[in-house]
Amino acid sequence: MSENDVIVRFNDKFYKPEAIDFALRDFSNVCRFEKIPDGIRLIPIEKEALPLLGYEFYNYVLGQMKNQ
Amino acid sequence: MGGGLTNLEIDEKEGYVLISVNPKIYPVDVVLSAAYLFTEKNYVLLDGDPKDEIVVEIRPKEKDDLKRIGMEFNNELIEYANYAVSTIKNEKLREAIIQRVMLTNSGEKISSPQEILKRWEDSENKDVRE
Repeated sequence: MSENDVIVRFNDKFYKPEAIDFALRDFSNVCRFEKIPDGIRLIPIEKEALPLLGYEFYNYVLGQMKNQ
Repeated sequence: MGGGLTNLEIDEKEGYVLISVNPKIYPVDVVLSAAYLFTEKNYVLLDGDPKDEIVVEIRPKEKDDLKRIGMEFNNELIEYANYAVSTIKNEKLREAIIQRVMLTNSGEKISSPQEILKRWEDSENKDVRE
């Protein structure tokens, strides 16, 4: 995690790309994103969200997989 | 006398517990179900290899007893695994009951409800002719 963004990494043996994409869409009001070779960079729209953004995103993706 | 099985690795400083899960005992679906349950009060990540070793990282949102969390997760794995086994057993039982219901008086097996309907129609037509 840097001052302005956080990088999240998903083990593709467990996390489905569709679930991640759904989560990125749902998080569009909270952050912008950039897919990088190492993972996904999340850039919060409001800086206050940064400390927990990555963890909340992990949980959200897990929830998407459960729903699917 | 101490010891006992443990699959927990606790990092008090960083505030998380790693739980090692054997996928030969607990399938990924069971682990996912248990993991999702913990997302209400914790942040949960999955890692490892579903063919070899699944590693679940649980990081409580508020300060909490990491060992207790790990042990509760183990309990939830057993709970969901038991549920999965019961579901399979009940499904076979249901199929057996329905199959039995579909048996005719002669003991001849009927393969589908459509066949029941056809046999009824045939018997109705026979009554009309007589």
